Amino acid sequence: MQEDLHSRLARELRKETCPQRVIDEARRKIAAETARGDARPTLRYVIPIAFAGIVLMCGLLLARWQPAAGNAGRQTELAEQQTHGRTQVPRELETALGLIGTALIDAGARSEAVVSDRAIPPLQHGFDTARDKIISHTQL
Amino acid sequence: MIRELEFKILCERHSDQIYRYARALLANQADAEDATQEVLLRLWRHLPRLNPFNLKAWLLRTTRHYCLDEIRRKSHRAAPLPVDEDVLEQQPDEFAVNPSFAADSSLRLEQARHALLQLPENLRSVFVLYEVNGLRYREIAKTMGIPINSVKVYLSRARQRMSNLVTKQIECKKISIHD
Repeated sequence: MQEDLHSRLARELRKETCPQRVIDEARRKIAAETARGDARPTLRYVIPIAFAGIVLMCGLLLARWQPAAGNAGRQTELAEQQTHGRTQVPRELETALGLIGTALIDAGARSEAVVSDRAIPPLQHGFDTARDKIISHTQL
Repeated sequence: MIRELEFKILCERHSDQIYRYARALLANQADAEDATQEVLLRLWRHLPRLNPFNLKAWLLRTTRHYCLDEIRRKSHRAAPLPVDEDVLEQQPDEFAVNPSFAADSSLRLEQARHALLQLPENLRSVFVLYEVNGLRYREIAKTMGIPINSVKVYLSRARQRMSNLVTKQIECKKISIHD
């Protein structure tokens, strides 16, 4: 009995069909959608192209920015080195000149000592001998 | 051009099944028509990517998802929900107005139709897909994303519960006629 009722209900429900206007309306919407899609084909590509362009530009900017940053670091390092060099060179020059001066003074002192120790006594002895000889020759 | 032709053939072949299923789920002709239209639009959009061997399951699954979304969206509006035994008494009973209808077999049919709408969505889906749309267990399982055994259990439960609901309705009418 109930089985029969289920079958009858199923048969009854199977009689229901989709109204043709539903299909027609769906086709009309599809046609409108397709026409819209065809009318604006460029817009379909503009957005991806613009996006790709932005990405490319960002990439280029990033690529340029990174070496610039590296160069800046290197330049700062060089500038520091140069500044350091500029202060160090006079200091080293001063030290070198000081050393040279000291050496010259030392050499002068040594020369004086050598002259006074080695050259003056023979000369003085020669002068004394010559004076004695001149005096004795004069007395004669 | 081929796409249009394919779409036309598919519309002719499947639109009735989509409509019946939507009608059973939404319990409203206008909503069922909207659902059918929306599913056909989705079919058109997805047609190039669809597997022709799974087409029927895809269509009915899309219909189900759309209808469930609609039910959720319009949950305040006569959404057919799982009901308790007592809810039947709260339903407006237009057939009780004319007692002569009780003898009519078409009344039982209307009661069965009414009972179908009182079933929970999963039981109703299985019943409609099997009995009305003529799908096999495997196809129903694929459409609903459940095991085949569950389909069998749901179908059995749907029949049983519909029988109970019809019996209950008849008893209610008898009481109302005697009163």
